Amino acid sequence: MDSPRRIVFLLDMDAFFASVETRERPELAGKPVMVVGSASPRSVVCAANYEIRKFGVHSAMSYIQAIRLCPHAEVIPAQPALYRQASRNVFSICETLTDMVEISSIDECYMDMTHTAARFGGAEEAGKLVKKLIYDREGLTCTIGIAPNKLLAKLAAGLQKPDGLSQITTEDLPKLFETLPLISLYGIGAKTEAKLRSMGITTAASLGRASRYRLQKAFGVLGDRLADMGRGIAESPVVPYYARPIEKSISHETTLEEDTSDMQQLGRMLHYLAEQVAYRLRKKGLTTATVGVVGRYSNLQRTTRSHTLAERTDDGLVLYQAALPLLEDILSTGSSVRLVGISAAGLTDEILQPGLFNDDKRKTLIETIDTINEKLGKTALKPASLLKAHKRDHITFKG
Amino acid sequence: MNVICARKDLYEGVQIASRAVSARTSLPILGHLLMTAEDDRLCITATDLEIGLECYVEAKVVEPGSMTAPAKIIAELLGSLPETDVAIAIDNDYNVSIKCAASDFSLKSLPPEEFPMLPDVVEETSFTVDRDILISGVKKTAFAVGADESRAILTGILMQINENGLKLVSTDTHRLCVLDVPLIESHGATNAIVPGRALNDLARVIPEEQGAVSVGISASQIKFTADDIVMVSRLIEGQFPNFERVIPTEHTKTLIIPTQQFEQSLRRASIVARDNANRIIARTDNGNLTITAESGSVGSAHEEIEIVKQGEDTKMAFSARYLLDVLGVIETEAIEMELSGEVNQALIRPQGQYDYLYVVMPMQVS
Repeated sequence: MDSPRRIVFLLDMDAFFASVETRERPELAGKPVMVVGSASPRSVVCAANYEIRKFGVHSAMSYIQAIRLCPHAEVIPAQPALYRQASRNVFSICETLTDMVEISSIDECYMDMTHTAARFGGAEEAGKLVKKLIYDREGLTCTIGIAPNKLLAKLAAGLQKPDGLSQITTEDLPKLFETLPLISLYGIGAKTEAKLRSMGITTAASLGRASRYRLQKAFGVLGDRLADMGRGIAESPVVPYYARPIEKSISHETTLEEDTSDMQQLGRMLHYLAEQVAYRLRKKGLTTATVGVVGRYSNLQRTTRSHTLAERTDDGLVLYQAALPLLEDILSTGSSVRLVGISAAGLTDEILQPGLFNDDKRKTLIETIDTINEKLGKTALKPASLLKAHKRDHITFKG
Repeated sequence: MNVICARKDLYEGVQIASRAVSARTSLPILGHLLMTAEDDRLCITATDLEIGLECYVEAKVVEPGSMTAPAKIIAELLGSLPETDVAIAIDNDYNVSIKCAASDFSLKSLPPEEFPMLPDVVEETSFTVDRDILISGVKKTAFAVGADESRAILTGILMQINENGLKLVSTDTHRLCVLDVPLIESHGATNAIVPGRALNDLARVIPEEQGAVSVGISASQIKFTADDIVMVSRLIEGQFPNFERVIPTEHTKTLIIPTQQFEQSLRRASIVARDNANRIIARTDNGNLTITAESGSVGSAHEEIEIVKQGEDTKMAFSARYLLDVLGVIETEAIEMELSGEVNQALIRPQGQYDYLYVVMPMQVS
């Protein structure tokens, strides 16, 4: 069991986007409001306030479906910049109570109040204070769950919404878990629930009573976590952004269908892999200083080359251009390779000093491509040189 | 060869020439100095094949000729000899004899014929410039050159010579220095990219006495002559970035900031900022400039300075190091900072002086 001394808050903003819109436009108060991606029929609901939820509208529902359920809804196109700002303001308020704030999404964060709650008169008083500060300064309401760990804090927040404050202690667990449906535990989805149900496990308490060995056998690594969850145990710490470890490297490699020493074919493959690595760098807000290329010859011998870049980057083309001579070097032996890969190391999330002579157009282009690919699939838009790699070479990717 | 010199003069000459001795070289001769005695002076030469330095020292030439001597050892020896005359001679087996008071040394050396000749600079463009002005110009620009050898162009300072004078330009692509230098006289016009290291060395070896430096430039070499010192350097080949394109031509805000206070505040704030890419936030609020820095693991810094401001209030992020670098070479009591937006480059100049400008790219504010 976790140390009873831990005090973890889960703070969840109530119908966040819709609440921010209502704050900006008070005439929306009391009306059913949905925030949509755009005012097009193909759009989806990004947020639904509590009034519109009564009509059965919820987020991720299609706009058409939602408007059928509630034809008189106030439909607001999303204003991401506005929500981001409100989100930053809210989290800054949280950071005045503890430096251990883990932001889990734009409208949700965990706060480890173990060492600071006493200063504010205990856990519940601290929770009330956070709610009051956010309401006074931002005009927004939130729900806070208080518990000895993140799993139970999330559960507590779900007990009373909106504008709620509830606490779960280890003493409450047996009674609460007895009837608690599995799906209420964060981390158990429909698939896992169905599988557990087939094993005769239907409530949180029965999950807790199930043998750890049986769960491990059925679910592998996840089984161990499930056994903990059934007992209300979750040891994962609240990790503030600055303490989150940065990965050492990001790499992609692929085994070819046939061994080859064809520089053109391998070069295209390398370019594809470089774009994948660069995309992951960008998503994580990282840049790399060192590019590495790995090759495995037909005789299974693995070989690597690396190069330190003049300037840090998260651009796939730059990675590819730096990797190409390394690949040429690997192929200079004349042997064919069965695997090729690219890695980015020396990673940092430090903000880069922009250059005077930088090409802003390229930056905008990459951002736009990322946005489109995120919507339409990861290679909807790709460098023209890669067109052939998919159609002719029939090479399968992994990693 | 056989000469007698005052120890101090010889030691100084050896030290100056030794700046061109490469620390790591695969050619033994490049670890040596060439010494040539003629016409009552001794010429001490060193080169690493990129730059070459010659330094002339007064000497009593008993027998003219030339020899080489291992640079490090002779410098160390001369540095520890007493303050009197030193006699240097060479025998047929290239053993260098050094006699001074009661000391008598014999050092092994290499044949002088092995020493590479410094290139003859066929001057196509030439100019003369005041020594102090050139030294100060190097100080105001050399700090902004790039350090990355794979982009050699940026490790150099662009010298643009035309009928208007000399322009020194340096950039590491994040910031840019442009300085107009008045010339005493000039012939011809050219653009030459001179290694930053050569100019830094030149600024160090030219004695701080009044006088001029004459400079001659050929297609691939540059030669500086100041009294008894001659430096030759190869030029860096290639196209310097089009720097004029990044100098802002318009601005919407001007800040006048006291140089020393700004520098001190930044120095303190950077104690915190160094943990976070040296990033500081500069915010104006009417007559106040607030400098803040934050680091998740160190803490936060807050500094305030009274300034004079024209235009709306602003908030921008900068690398503290890039600001400190330029504040370190500005001599006026205040600087002018011209701004036109959070993400647009800032222009800094000494207040009221239009011959020097520094352009720096801001960092992301959030």
